Amino acid sequence: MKQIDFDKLEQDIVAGNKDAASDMLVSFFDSDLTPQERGEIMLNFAMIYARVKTKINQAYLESLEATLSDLKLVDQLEREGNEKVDLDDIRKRIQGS
Amino acid sequence: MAETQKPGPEIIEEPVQGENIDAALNAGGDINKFILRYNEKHPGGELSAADSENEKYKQLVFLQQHVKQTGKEVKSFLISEIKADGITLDSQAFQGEDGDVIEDFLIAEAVKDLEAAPIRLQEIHDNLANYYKTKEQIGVIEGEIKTKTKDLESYQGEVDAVSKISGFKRGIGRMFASPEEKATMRQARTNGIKSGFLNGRMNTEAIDSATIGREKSIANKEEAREMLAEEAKQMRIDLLRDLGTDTGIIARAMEIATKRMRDSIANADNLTLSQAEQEFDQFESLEEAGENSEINYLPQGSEREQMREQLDNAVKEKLVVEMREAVEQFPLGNKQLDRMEKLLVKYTSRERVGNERDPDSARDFVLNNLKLIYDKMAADPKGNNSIKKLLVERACWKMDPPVEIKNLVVDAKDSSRLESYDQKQMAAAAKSKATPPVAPGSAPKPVSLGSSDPNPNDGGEHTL
Repeated sequence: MKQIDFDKLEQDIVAGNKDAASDMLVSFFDSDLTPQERGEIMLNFAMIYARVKTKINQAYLESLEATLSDLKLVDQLEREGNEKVDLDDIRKRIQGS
Repeated sequence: MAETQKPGPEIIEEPVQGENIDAALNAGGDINKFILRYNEKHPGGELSAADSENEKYKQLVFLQQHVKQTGKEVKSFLISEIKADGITLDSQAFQGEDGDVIEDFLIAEAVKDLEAAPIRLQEIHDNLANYYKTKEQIGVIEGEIKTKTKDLESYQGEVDAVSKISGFKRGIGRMFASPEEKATMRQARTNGIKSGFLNGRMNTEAIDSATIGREKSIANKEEAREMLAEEAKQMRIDLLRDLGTDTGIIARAMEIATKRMRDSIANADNLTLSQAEQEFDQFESLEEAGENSEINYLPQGSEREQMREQLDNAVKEKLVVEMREAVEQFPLGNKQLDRMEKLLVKYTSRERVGNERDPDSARDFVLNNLKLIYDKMAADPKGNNSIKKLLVERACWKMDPPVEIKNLVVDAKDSSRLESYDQKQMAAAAKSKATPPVAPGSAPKPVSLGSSDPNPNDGGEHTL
């Protein structure tokens, strides 16, 4: 069977070298492959890609969650600040009356 | 399911008994046809009592259904996810019917090992399920962020861009930071937000001014509220910028990674081979990330080249050290020889990746180490050295460009075997790489590999 370097393919995907990954795959798919070889390469590529992309997405998800948490913190602090302003305003009115 | 290329297998008339099924499978049977024919004989899909006892048949039906489903899942993933992500599989690369090819492959694998097939199918399913689950979670959180920042219309696009355009790269960038580094960055961000509200301008100026009152109290209150809102807005914008541009978390992660790399260079003597390799890989990844970004994560010009060379040399030095250690571990077992082979290949490919200017260096490395290995073998009274040599020499044709073994080392007794082996591998390598096996003008110099071999299996002198 014609061998494809799946390690190299995975490295290219991890590094974001999409063009290199595409080129490698296209060169293989355009060559003479038996249906079985073609199926194997398709499947292995899909599995590598799903695994790598999930890792990347999980890292991105962590950042999204951190950002959402920070946004909630900003909301909370803004609310507390407004309450403080209101409290000070009431105190001032009482003192002024 | 696509028709197989081979002539169809003989269909067994009464596939009830396990032995018949085994016979069909052993003969390279197509279980789809097999089951189809069987179902024709048993309309309604109901198994008879006798059939229901036939576990192998049930296993085949189960596999047939799941293989079909898995093939569809993979095909859908290839079409909808990978293409959408920008990896283009042009021309003949991916056609609709390739889903059938995947099914055919899965079937063939399942037939080879019925026990392992369900596990394999489950792994594929789990892998894809994880992918979709994470993607869905991203959609949910992005939705919440959008809701929370809907008033910041001008920055809304950045949230979209994160996932649609640059999420891939940014996700990669975030992978560079260790959990500890990410926790530190996260804490720094939280501290920044807290200090902005609690100890910053709002407390000391806005709220105090509202308390003290310069004009009417209500005016000061509104002013304080406005300032609070402005402060909060600015913080939200900063958060979105961090998320949506390369100037945020990723840039800090890159800075940390670059610093760690510099520390590694300064401390190269204490690195292990894998640590040195990891740093070099990271250097290349940062370089790649920098090419697609406005931010340069690495120093420019000669300083960057120097950094590359230092990291590359660190890896090669570790490879040389490990090779020497491997050679010293006589008598050589298959494990040591496999390790040597990997080291030889790693070294020669590194010469190609890091330094195309000196292809002879890789060959010298191989020759010198082969000589060491042969000398050791000559002194090794045990074992079949012919086989050992073959194992080591596999490294030669794995080199890029590959080295013809017959020009490198010819063993009198093994020459025909080596030559045939060599020609086969060289042809395969040349076809796949389309590069000349040996660069013009750089043919290896004849090197005598020394003494006669006391092992009769080993065929005597090694000469070129």
